[in-house]
Amino acid sequence: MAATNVEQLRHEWAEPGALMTAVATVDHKRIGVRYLITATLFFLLAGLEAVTMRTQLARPNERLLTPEAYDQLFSMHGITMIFLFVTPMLSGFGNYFVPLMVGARDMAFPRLNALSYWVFLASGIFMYSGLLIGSAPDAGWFSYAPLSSTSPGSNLDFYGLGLIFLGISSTAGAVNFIVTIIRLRAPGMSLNRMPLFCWAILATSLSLVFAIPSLTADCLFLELSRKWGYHFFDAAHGGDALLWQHLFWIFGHPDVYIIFLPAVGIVSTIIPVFSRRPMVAYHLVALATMATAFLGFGVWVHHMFAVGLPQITMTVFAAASMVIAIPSGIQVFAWIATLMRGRPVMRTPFLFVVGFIVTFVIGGLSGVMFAVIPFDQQVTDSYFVVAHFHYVLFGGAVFPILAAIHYWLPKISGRMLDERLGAASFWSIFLGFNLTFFPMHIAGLLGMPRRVYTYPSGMGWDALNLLSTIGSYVLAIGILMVVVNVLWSLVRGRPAGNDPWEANTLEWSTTSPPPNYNFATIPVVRSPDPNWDEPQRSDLLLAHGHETVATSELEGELDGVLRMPEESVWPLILAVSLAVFFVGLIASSNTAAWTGIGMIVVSLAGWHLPTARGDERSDPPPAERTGGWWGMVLLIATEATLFAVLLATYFYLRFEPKGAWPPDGLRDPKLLKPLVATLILVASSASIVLSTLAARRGQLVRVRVGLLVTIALGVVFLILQRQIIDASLRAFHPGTDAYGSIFYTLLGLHAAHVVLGVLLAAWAVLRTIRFDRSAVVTVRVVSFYVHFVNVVAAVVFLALYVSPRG
Amino acid sequence: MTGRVWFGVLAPPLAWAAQLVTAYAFEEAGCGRPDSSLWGAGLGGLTGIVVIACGVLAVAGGAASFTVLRVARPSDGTGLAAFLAAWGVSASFIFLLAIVLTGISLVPLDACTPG
Repeated sequence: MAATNVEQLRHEWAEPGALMTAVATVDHKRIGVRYLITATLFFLLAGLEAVTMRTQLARPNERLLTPEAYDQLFSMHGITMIFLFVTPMLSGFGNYFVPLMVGARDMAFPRLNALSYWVFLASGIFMYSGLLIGSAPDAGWFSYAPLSSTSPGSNLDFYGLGLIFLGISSTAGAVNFIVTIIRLRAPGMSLNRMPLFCWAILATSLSLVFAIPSLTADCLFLELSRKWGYHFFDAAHGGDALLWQHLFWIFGHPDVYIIFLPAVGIVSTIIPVFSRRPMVAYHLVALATMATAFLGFGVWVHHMFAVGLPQITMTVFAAASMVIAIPSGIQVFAWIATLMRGRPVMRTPFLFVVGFIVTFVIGGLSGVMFAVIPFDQQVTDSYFVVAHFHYVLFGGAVFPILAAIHYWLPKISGRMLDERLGAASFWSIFLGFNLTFFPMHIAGLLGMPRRVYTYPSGMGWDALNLLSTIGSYVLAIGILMVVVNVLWSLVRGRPAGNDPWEANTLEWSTTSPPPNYNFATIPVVRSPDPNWDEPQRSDLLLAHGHETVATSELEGELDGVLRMPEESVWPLILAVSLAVFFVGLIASSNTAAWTGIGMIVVSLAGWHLPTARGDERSDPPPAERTGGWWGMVLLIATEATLFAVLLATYFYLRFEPKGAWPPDGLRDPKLLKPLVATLILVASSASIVLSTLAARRGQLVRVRVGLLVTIALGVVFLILQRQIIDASLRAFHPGTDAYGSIFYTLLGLHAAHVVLGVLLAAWAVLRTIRFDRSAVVTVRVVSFYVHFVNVVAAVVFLALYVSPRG
Repeated sequence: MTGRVWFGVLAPPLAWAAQLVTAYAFEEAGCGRPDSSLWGAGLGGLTGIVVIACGVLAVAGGAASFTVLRVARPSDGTGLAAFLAAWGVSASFIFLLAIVLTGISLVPLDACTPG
C-alpha cells in the first residue's frame, strides 16, 4: 500500500492533544483500556474486601469486624464483583477487540461508547461513595425485600439508584455491541464465519437488552417504596415480597450467563490458537452460546425453590435448569475434542484456560445438583451455595479473564508478559482458589449458613474456615503476581510483534498496538479463521475520510461506507449530568435533581450540534436498515421489556389471592376519558406515517405538518392524562395500596415516554432544516418510537381499565 | 434466506418460551382460585395441551430445518443456509427435550400443591 495512503489515514484518524483526548476520545481501544483499568481497580477493592472477610472468619468468635461492617463488606464485595468488575472487564475486552475481530475501524456508535464508559465510572464511584460515609448497601448483592424496602438509612438507596444508573451504561454498551457485530463486519464475514468471541458478545448483549429492564423495574419499585411509600413488596397493603425475588432473578440468572458467556468466548478463542487447529463443531458451539443465553431466561425460579412455590412451577423450572447443562456440555466437549485433535502448546494463557475448564466443570456439576429440588432446599443459604457460585463465577469468569490478559495484552501494549511469572501466578491462583472454595462445600453441608460475621467454636467448621482463609491469602498473592507481571511487561517486556501466538483472528493481522485506524485496508474474510487463510488483497482503503464499511447483517456483503464521528466532550458532560441527577435523588434534593435534568437536556442538545469533520448524522448508506435503525429497534426492545415487566407486575399482584381488585372501597376506574386520551395518542401513528411517506417522496412541507400534528396529539394526550391522574388521586394514591402503586407507576412511566416521543418528534422537525437522506432516516426512526409508545398506550389502557376485575 | 430457514431456527426456542411462560401464567392465575381452574378446565389439562402444541411446533421447526439441510451445502455461497439449517435441527432437539422434561412433571404432580 502506498505510503501516501497510510499518511492520509494517520491524518484522518489523528487524535487531538493529550488533554482533549483524555476527556473527549471516542476511540474504542482507548475506551476499552479504560474499562480494563477501572474494572481491575474495582476487582482489587473487591479482593481487599474478600480477604478482610476471610480474616474475620479465620477463627471462631473473631472480632476484627462489627456485624454492620461485615454486612457492608459482603454486600459491596458481591456488587463489585458482579456489576463493577466482571461485566465491565469483559466489556473492556469486547470494546477493544470486537471491532478488530470483525475488521472494523471503531464501534458503531463511538460517542455512545464513550458515554457507556463514563456512566460506568460515575455509577461505580456513586455506589462506593456510600462505603466512604459508612452507608454502603448492606443487604447482600440481591438485597431481598422487605428487608431492603424497609431498612433505615440510605444504604439501600445507594444500591437501588446505583444499579439504575449503571443500567444505562450496560444497556447503551449492549446496543453498541449488537449493532457493531451485525452491521460493521468485514466484507465476506457472514454469520457462520464470525469469531466465537463475537458470538459470545452478541449473545451477552442481547441478554442484557432484555434482562436489564427487569432489574431497573425492581430497583425503581424499591426506591418508590423506600422514598415515597409505595407498597409493591408490602403484604399488608396488597404487595408481595416475592415480587422482588422474581424480578431480581429474571435479571439475575441471565446475568450469570452475561458474565459467563464472554468468558466462554475467550476460551473458545484461545483453545484453537494453542491447539493449532480450528474449533471442532464451530456451528454447535455458536448455537450453544446463543441457546445458553436464551435458556438463561427460563430458569430464574431455581433461585426460589425454598420460598414455597407450587410444585408444578418448581418442576417446570427444574427441568429448564437441567436442560441448560446441554449447551454447556456441548461447549466443554468441543473444547476437549479440539485439544485432543490438536497439538496443545503450554503457554500461560492456555494454563488459565485449563484451570477454567477444571473449575467450571466442578461448578457446573454442583449447579446441576441445585436443579434437584430436595437438595436445593437442604443447602439453600448455606456455604455450599457460596462454594458453587464462586466455582462458576470466579472459575468461570476470572480464570478466562486472566487468560485473556495474558493472551491479548501483547496486542494492547506491544509487549509480552513473563512466562515464568505467569506460570507461577497461575499455580498460586489455581491452588489458592481451590483451597479457599472447596472446603466451603463441606462447611455448607455441615450446616454453616452464609452471611454470618462470625460463628461459635465446636460446630466442626473451624478447620474448614481456617483452610479457606489460608487459601484466600495464597489466591491474593497469585493475583498480585499477575499485577506485577503486567506492570513489569509494560516497561521491560519483550516486543510482541504483530502475531506472537500465530493466531487465527483478525486482530492479529495488524500491528501491536494497532494504529488509530486499526487496519490500513479493510480485510476481506473467507472463513472463521481468516488469519490462517491465504492473504487476500483488499482495495478498501477508505483513506480519504474518518470512515469504516457497513455490511449486510447475514451474509456480510458490502453495503456502504460509514463516516465515523470525531472526539466529543459531550458524553462526559452527559455522564456528569446524570450523576448530578442521581446525587440529587439520593440526597432528596429536588434542586439538584432538576439541575441534573436541565444539564442532561443541554448535554443532549450539545451532543447533536454539527461538527467540523462530520458525525454520526452524516449521510447513512443506502441500506434499508441503517445503524440508527438497529439502534432504535434495540432501544424499543429494551423499553418494551420494561413495560412487559410492569404489566406482568400488575397481573402478578392482581392474581395474588388477597381479595378484590381494585381493593375493597375503590370503584373501577372510569373508562371514557382514558379511552378518548388513548385514541388521540394512537391517532398520532397515522400522522407520523404520513410524515414518513412524505419524507420518502421529498415533500418537506408534509413531513413537517405530519410531525407537528404528532407533537400536538402527544401534548393533548399529556394534558388529558394529567386530568385523569388528578381525578384518580382524589379517590386513591400510590401509597394507598399495591393497586395504587402499580396503577400510578404504569401511567407515570408511560407519560414520561410520551414526553420523550414528543421531544424526538420535535428534534426530527429540526433535522428537516437540512433535508437530506439522513433527515429521512431520522423521521423514519422517530416514527418507530412514536408507534411503540402508542402501542404501549393501548396495552396499558386495556390492562388498567378493561382487563377482568375480581 | 427463506422463511423456512428462519422458521426452523426460531420455532424451537419460541415454542419452549411459549410453553414456559404459559405454564407459569396458568399456575399464577389458576392456583389463586378456590377450584384451581381456569375457564372451567383443570390446570393440568390446560398445561398438557400447551405442552403438546409447543412440542409439535418445536418438531415442525426441526423438520423444516432438516428439509433445508438436505439440499443446502456448506460450499454454497458463504454456506450460511446450511449453517442455519444445522442450527435449526440441533435447536429442535435441545428445546424439544426441555418441553418434554417439563411435560413429564404434569403426570404425577398436582399443579397447585406447594413444593
